[in-house]
Amino acid sequence: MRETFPKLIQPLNALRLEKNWPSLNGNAPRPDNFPLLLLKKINAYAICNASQYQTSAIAYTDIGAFPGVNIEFPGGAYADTIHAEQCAIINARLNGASQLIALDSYSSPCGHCRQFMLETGNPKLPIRYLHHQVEQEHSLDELLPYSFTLSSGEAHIFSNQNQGYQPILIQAHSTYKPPCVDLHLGPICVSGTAIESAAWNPSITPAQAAFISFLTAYGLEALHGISDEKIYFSQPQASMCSAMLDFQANTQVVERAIRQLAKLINSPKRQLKPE
Amino acid sequence: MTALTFPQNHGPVNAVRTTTFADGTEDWDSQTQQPKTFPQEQLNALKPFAVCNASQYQATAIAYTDAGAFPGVNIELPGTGYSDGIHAEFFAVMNARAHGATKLNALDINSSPCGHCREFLSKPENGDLPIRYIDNTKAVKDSTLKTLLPDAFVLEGQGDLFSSKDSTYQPIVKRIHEINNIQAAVTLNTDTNYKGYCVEVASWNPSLTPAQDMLIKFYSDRGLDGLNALDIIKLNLTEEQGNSGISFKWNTMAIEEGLKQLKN
Repeated sequence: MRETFPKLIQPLNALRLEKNWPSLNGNAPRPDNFPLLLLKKINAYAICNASQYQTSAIAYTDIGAFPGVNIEFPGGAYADTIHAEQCAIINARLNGASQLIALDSYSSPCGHCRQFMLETGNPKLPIRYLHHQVEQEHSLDELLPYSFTLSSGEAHIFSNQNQGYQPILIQAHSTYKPPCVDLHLGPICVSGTAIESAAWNPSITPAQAAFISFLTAYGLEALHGISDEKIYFSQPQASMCSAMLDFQANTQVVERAIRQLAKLINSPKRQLKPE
Repeated sequence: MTALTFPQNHGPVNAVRTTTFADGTEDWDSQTQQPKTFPQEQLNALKPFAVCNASQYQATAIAYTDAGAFPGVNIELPGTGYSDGIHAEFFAVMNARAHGATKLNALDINSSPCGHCREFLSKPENGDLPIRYIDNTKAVKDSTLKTLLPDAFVLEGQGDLFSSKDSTYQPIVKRIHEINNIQAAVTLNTDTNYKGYCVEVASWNPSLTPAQDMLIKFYSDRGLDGLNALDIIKLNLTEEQGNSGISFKWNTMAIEEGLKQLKN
């Protein structure tokens, strides 16, 4: 494993306390200008050994702005990856946001992310991004016109932060209970629930959501001095999975990836290169 | 656990090709190699092949290529997660790739293609790809990829998935990690007729794993009935991914578990 990523390992949300971080300002939830410098700074937190492609996003909500980066899990496959837009949105949800107002993305959001963002309940979501080095602004329904949707009522990602969001599965299987996992990292414990996309594949797994919680609140630096056996997932609510949906493989991938990252953090050879 | 209700038809998906995808008729558009009339009946006839116990949503697609028309359905295997799912568009395109297609001419789908599928189809020179689909009001829409995915995400080194159909296709990882002998292949038991390979997509997540590719090949030609002829089901993964950190081990195990459950 190359030791170039991530460049910064502090808690992602520590950025929110810095004085240049966008704050809620009356009717303007986001800065007037595209925050390119800020997005570049967030890029340094990306975990992207496989692609070496750093990307970042900021989700602007009713309770403030939340950063996100792309996360590739070493030892996992392509589809285990979390995109920066997903990370920022889940970060906002975990912190109690009830409405997504706007989103800034370092690069043009991919189709997978555009599909995921449909679950935020805001098809007119204004999105700013760089495309071929040029700043663009479009609404979500312009970026994903004639979108694939399944009727799931008025619910959206932010309607109940305390539970998993799996409206289609719950509708199809009355006995299905959204699973919740706890991620233990030494003295730290964070939990995660699944967030469903109507198109299935862009969904977020419970283990991924727990990892976003860890990365944003504690940062990889919290892995200092934590040995392998103290990093594990436990499942307080085993899922009655009549739908036969199973997150076990993904949970294994995330658990093993965190252990690998811990090894990297605890390696005496590792040289951090703060920017 | 409740019993599996899907699929309703366990036969080879490609068996429908001989009866419903004949060209040369008056309705045939020789340029795009697709029927002029939207093939609603054929798309409906494919629905029973969908493996979708979790979502109970049957999706179907037809990929028109230089090697003919190829059908596809969605597959959600029991015991796997959301991101292990295979969409009908992926199935149709990979089915065509496995059978010698080198160019995708057009695509017909029984619902609006999701963002994940639009991303899978996306490459800089593919913008004009004609896509017909049934929209949310049940009307047939005639569109193109660039209309459905404007300002698409691009990454240096993106290629064409049809360029290397008999090997793993991971141009970006190969270039970044300077791996010459990049490999990732899955076989079912000792049968090498259905060898699956990885197909990479620039935005990562819509990429297809070797086990998914193998499953598409097996389902197209043998059907899920083909699983019943097997005493055991064991997927064998060989991979050489250099220092990329990518591994298909867990996805392969999930798909193997899913196939075992389907057989039961």
